[in-house]
This record gives sequence, structure tokens and C-alpha cells, in this order.
Amino acid sequence: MLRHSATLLSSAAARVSRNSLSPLFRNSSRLQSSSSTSTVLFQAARSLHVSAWSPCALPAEAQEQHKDLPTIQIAKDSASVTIRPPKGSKYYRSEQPTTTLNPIWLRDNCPCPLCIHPSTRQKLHASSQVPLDITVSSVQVYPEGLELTWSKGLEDVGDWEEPAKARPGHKSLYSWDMILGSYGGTPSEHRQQTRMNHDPVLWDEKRMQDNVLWLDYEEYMTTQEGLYKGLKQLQEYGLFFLRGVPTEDDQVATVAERIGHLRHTFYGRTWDVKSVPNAKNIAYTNLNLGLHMDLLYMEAPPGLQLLHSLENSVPGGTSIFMDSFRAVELLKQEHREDFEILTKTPTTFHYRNGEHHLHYNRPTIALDEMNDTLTVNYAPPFQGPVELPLEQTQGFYRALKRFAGYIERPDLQFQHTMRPGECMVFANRRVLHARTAFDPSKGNRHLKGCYVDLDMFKDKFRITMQAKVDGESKKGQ
Amino acid sequence: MLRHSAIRLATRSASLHGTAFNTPLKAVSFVFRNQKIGSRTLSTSQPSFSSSPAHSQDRDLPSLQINKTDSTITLAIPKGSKYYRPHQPTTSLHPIWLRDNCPCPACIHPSTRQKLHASSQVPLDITIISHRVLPEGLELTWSKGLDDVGDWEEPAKSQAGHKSLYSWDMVLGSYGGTPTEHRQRTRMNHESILWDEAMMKEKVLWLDYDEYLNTREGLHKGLKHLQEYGLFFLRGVPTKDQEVATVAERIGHLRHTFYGRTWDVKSVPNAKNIAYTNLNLGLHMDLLYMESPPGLQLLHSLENSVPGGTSIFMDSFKAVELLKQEHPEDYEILTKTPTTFHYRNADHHLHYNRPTIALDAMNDTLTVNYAPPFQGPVELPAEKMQGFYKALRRFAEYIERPSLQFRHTMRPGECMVFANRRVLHARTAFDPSKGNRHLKGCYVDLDMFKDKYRTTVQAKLDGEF
Repeated sequence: MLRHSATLLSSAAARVSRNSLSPLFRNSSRLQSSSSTSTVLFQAARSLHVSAWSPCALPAEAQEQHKDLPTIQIAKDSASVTIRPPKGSKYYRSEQPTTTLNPIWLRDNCPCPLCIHPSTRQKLHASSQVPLDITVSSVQVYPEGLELTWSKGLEDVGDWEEPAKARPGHKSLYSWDMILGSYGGTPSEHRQQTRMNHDPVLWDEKRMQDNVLWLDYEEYMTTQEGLYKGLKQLQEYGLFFLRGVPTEDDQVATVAERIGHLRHTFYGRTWDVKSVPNAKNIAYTNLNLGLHMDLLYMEAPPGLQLLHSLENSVPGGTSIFMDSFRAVELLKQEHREDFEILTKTPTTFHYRNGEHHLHYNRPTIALDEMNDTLTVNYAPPFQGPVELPLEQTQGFYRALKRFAGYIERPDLQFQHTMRPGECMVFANRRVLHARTAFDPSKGNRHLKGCYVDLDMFKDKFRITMQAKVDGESKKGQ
Repeated sequence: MLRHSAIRLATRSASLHGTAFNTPLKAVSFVFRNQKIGSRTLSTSQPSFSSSPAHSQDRDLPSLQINKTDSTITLAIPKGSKYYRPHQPTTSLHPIWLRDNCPCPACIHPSTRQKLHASSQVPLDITIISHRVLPEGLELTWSKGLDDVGDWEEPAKSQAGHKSLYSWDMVLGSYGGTPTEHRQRTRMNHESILWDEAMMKEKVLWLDYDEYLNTREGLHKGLKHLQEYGLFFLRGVPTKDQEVATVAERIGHLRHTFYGRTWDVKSVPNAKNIAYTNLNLGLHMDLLYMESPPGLQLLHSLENSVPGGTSIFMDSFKAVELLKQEHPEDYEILTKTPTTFHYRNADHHLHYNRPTIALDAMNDTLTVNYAPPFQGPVELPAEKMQGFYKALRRFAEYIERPSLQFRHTMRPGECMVFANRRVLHARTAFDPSKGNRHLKGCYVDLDMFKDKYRTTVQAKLDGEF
């Protein structure tokens, strides 16, 4: 799911307890401890006027009082604003002692109520309205943040809008937490701060056996801490289990809705995994079903899958799980060229029968650099004929075989035979699932399933995580 | 949405001739149920070269060449065949791909249509030991079985000698032509028709609700118009609160988001979305901060007694075309640069980076992402900022051009249905003190639309209505 940013939250939480800035912008400083939302922008008794075209020059006594405030430099052509936090500041980073920001970007992202609608938090102008030659006409450095005054107004301001927006002199105040915090560090730090992007923990059989989470249903449903445990495990391992889920038909929906709305597909809002004649899906048979992911023939396959065991009195039908991210890591280390092929080559997934026709091409290993995410797409039963030029065919099949070699390794797989009342919750774009064949004549096997979109999970995870951080820092005060 | 493959369906049905091959597309995959029909067989010794059909009846069967080293098959299509294409007289296929896609019931489960082996099970050095060119298709016999066949599976799968029969419609039809032809045949990828104000005024579709809801022809009209223009209107939709859900469910399941299963567009205090105010709302798309923004949006007018509040629409694909023609370097920037979209308040935190112009070469689709109210601070290195802002301005100029926009003030009972990833929508400000304005909205995922579109178009082709 989300990847590769070092877990900085613990250090961020440590910084938060040193509460030096009050939050002026309800939105901007999510990791700050105080929840008071003030729209009073200017507390500044101490202000340092810096001339626009030269490096910051402060009178000596001002420098003494303000040694904990950043210094500002505006490039002569006004194409950049450089901010240097002092060494004692909580924003100081030895590997990156200055932050450089573009004035167009700054004007575009002015957080004031004329620019961002107070209750909706939506922007009240388009990026295209910011003049490309806008410059900073004056600068003020406050304890709360950096105030810039602009040389020009916005363009194409409609007659229904505030006329002031079209005129020079607009003042924007940016909190330090925004420009030195969120936007001051590396892209990784930024993503971790703004999107709670935490490292996945790649697992094999042994690690999952050591770290598997079995959560009690009551705890998950009725406590914030329980929900948090589950979400965190999902984020890190891509899989957790609940026990004690009442074996009532629609209970899986209740489990899922603790996280987000169900994803309704043509399989139903919830669906039954049992062996039936004339099955429309290989899962609805008693056959062995190899490691795969669901619904890859859809534009947006669901991020989460839940399967709740209602009955299981048959021999066989064991559930198997595998961390595809681990397979990607091994492939990248041991067969780099095959890894490259699988990131670039479209694999075809389809579902075609009388009533439905869905089709999607996606790479087996999908790296989304814009969002810093890894997704794996692997579903042999639903693969369609790949659409490749002849000369790429051999290479693709070889690479896929190598990748499958890791997927099929027993020491990388976790197995469990679900008992009634147990429910699995897993990341459908990361953890592969399978089940061994079973003999339906010996009893009944019935799982109830449903899906939840990835957005729902991310939203819930971020909000729940933020609440925990806010709660902990409150305690720390 | 889907783009730029020539509309070939009409020409394909016109070119059908000869009863042996006159099967509708849907039936093709079931040709192999009856496996061995061939009384006329042409066996050629292995490995060898093309053998011409011995009988005059076989004049329309392809001739075949198998490469000695890698077993690649090249089929030369006779000029009389319906599969003949002057721009591409031969089709070449790879043996691993062929074995992987054997359509027989031991390889593709008959009722589920799902594959019963993984691609990774096909040996990389598999070859063809014999073949037959039959009226129904090409039959190949394989030198080796699959690898890693489980003990629960048919033992024959791991043995040499498996026979695969591929219909000509598959190997020469679907997979015989160019990628474009292939996508059109297999996915009903039809051309979008880029519109401006004049064209939409001429072509706008106003569909009667009863016809849409109760006839397949009506549904087909709406879906086709959505596919081509990205927008159509219904009239006569009863002004009941949840009627928009009924309109949407004719196409597919509703996309349930935190805005609700359906949601109300009216001016309210402490709005959580700019749409729920009386302010002017500029041209934009919805929900771009989600991993998968909904493909369709529906807005049903329940009440409208205010001045103002006119709906405006714009075909972003037209803006892309103009930008590409007139400012190709800005076009390039917008295809490569991540734009940030977000929705952040106390209850929700959604965020997504996507390019303004998203070209998906793997699926041959174009998507545009433009939503100023929901744009977050872009996450770019300082040196890329100027170029991005300049490119976005140029793009926005086309979007804001009145001659490219279609306007309509919705009346109660009317419902708009539009492609949220292509057609931008807006509304002018209105005065809520003068009356009421109430639209009911909902979303449907793009997959639902495509699925319904493909199966409806196929049904029409098959003569079901």
C-alpha cells in the first residue's frame, strides 16, 4: 500500500510537546498539540521588517530577541523566497538548512479566509489566476509565521468576487509549521507529515507467525484503540484477523463499516463464498484457488477485502496469504531486469461472460511515484491474453515466472484454516490470498465477503492516527 | 473516457460473409466447445513452411509458417478472407502466449470463464509438435505439459500432447489486427467526439425518462451519447427525492462516498463543500482527491425558483486537443507534472497527486484532472514551479473560453448525466433569498458505465433490440 517513508511520527510527536507556536491555521499544523483554532492572524508585537531585495539585515538588539526566528532572503528576480531557520529552532534540519519556495506557489496557497473558504476549506481562486510575474513587495517575520505582501492582484477576478482580490497589497500569513514544517523538509518527510505515509513491514511466514494480530471483535468495534490497532496492522502488514465475530449473515458489513462504506460491485454488497453449481467465479467452487488478488479487471480494484467465516465443517479449504511486496523486493534484488520488465509491461485482466464485460491493462508491479505508492497486480485466474508485441512476449513470460517463483514459496506464505467467527481483513492490492481445495460432500464451508475502497481505509487511518497523536500530545503537556 | 479508435463495428458486420464465420462476437469464445469438427485437415510436417490449401474450398483459410528456432507462428491471410487487411497481411503469434491462452474447457473453466493455470506454468521452451488448419480455426499440439501442476489437477495438463483450437476470429480477428482495431473489437473503444458550444447546441441529447428507463433502445441512446460526448440530459424525471438513484441504477450501482449515497446541492450554512453554498462555482470535476474519482455524475433538478444558478459544461478533451496543437510544450508539462488534490477538515483527510492530463497508454484512455477549489499545494521542486503554472494557465484559458462552453439552466424534472473525468461542470452564483434551488446528486463508477455500455452495444449488435 503506502511505502518507504521513515516513521518520523515519534520524533514529530516529541517536537509537538514543545509548544512554541499557536495554530493559526486550523488546517496546516496537524501535529500541533493545541486544538484552539484562532483566526486572529496578527499577534505580532515584535515584527522585523526586511527589505525585499537584500539579505535579512536586523538591528543588533532585534537580532538578540529574535534569534529563534527564521531569516528570509528574497532573490533579486523575485523567483524564490529562501527561509533559514535558526539552529535552535524545532524546524532546523542539518541536512537541509534552508527552504526555498516559489512566490507563485506562495500566492496560490495563501491560507487566509479570502483565499480559502473558512468552512469548506476549498480554494476560492484558480491557480491560473495568479500572475506569473507576481512579486513580494514586503516581508514581515512574526513568531506565528511569515507575512508577505503582494505586488499584484489576481487576474480574471469575477464580478461576484471581492474586488480587493484583483488589487495589489494582499497580505498572506504562512505559519512556520506550513512552510518550514510540512513544506520545509524532504519529499519523504512531507508525505509522512501530511499523509501519514508509513513504511510497510515486509513479511515472510516466520515474521507473520511472530507478528500476526488477532483482535477481539468487541475491542475493535467499541474502542478507538482497538480500531487503531487494526488499522495500523493493516498499514504495516496488510493483514489482520478478528475473532469472536457473531456468525450472523451480514456481520461482515458491520466489521467493514467500522472502516468505511462498502464497495458495491456486481458480486453484491456482500457475497457468499461457497461451492455452487454453474459458478460465475472460480471462488464459488470447491477447487483449489491459487494466490491472487480480486477485481483487477476494474479501474479501481478495492483496497480492502474482508472474509468472515460463518461455517467450516469440511476438510481442506485452508486460507493462504502472501506478501507480494516481499516478492517484489526479492525480485528487485535478485533479478533486476525482470523487475524492470514487470513494472513496464501491461498485464491484461478481464471478466467476460454473458452479462459482464470488464477489462483492464495494468503492470504486474505498479510504481506510482506521484503518490509514493507500490501496488502489485497478480491474478492468474482473471488474466486475459496479454497484448504485447511479439518481441516482448518471451521476456514478459520469463519475468512473470520468476516473480511467481517467489509467490509460490512456502516459506513466504502464511496459512490458517478459518474457524467460524473469525474474520480476515487484508489489503487486496498487496496481500495475495488463496485457498486449498475442499470436499463439499463432507460438510459446509461458507464465508461472507465484502470490499472497502482504499480511500476509505486511508481516510480512516489518517484521521485515527491523527487523533491518537493529538491525544498523546495533550497528555504530554 | 475511452478514445480514438475508429468506429469499426459497422464495417465489421458489413464484411461478414460465408456462413462458417458468421458468428457474432459473443459466440466466438464458445466455438471450442465442439472441438473436433474438421473433416478437412491439412497437416504439415514439423518444423516446416507454409503449405497452400489443397482444395479450392480452403481458398479462404490462412497459410501458416512456423519459425524453426522459437516456434513463432506467422499466418498469411488470403485476400478473399474477411480477416484480410491490406495494411497488415500477416499475423504473428508467440507459442507461449498461444499455450497460455488455450480456450479449451481444461484451460478455461466453462462456467466461470476463468483460467485454470497461471501464466508462470507455461514452459518457456514449449514448442508446437503438430498443427492443423481447420475451417473453425487453428489447432496446435504441444511438445510439453505445464509446469508445477498440482496434485488436485488433471494429470494430463502436465503431459505433452495437449491440443488447443483457436478460432480464426480470435487469432485473425481480435488479435490479428493493429492494437487499435483490437481494442475496438474487444472493448468497444469508440472515438470521443470533441465538442464546443456550437456542436453541443446542435447535438445535445434530451432523452425522455420513460424511454431511457423502460426501453433498451433508450438506454443505448444515452450510453452511446455519454461515450461520444460525455454528457446527456433526461427530461420528465419525477421530482421525487431519490429518483436520481433510479436513473443511475439503470447504468450501475451507486458509488457511496462520505457525501452520502445521494446528496443535496443546496445553499446551507457552514457548508462542508463549496457546492453547498450560493457562490459561483467554476468549471471543475468532483472527487479528484480520491484514488478513483467516479466516472459518472448525475444531478437531478428538484426545485429551481432562483435567478442565476445556470449550469455550465465544457469538454476538457477539446481543451487538451487545442493545447496540444497550439502549445505542445505546455501540454507535455501537464502530462508529466503531479497536480495535488486534497480534502482536509476535522473529519476527513484525502489526498491524491495526479497529472492534469493523464494519458494511459496501456488502456488507451485519456483522463483530465482539473478542480481548482480542491487543489492542494503542488509538491514540486522549485525549478519546475514556473513552468507548471504557465502551462496550467494556458490550459485554463481554453477551459474558460465561452465558445467552448455549453450552458443550460436546469428546470425541475431535468437530470444531467455526465462523464466526471472528461466534462467539466460549473454553476453561476444565485440569490438564495429569492427562492429555492435544489439538485439531487449521485455518482456511478466508470467500470459500471463501461460494463453496461459494452454489454448493451453488444446486445444491439447481436440484434437483441
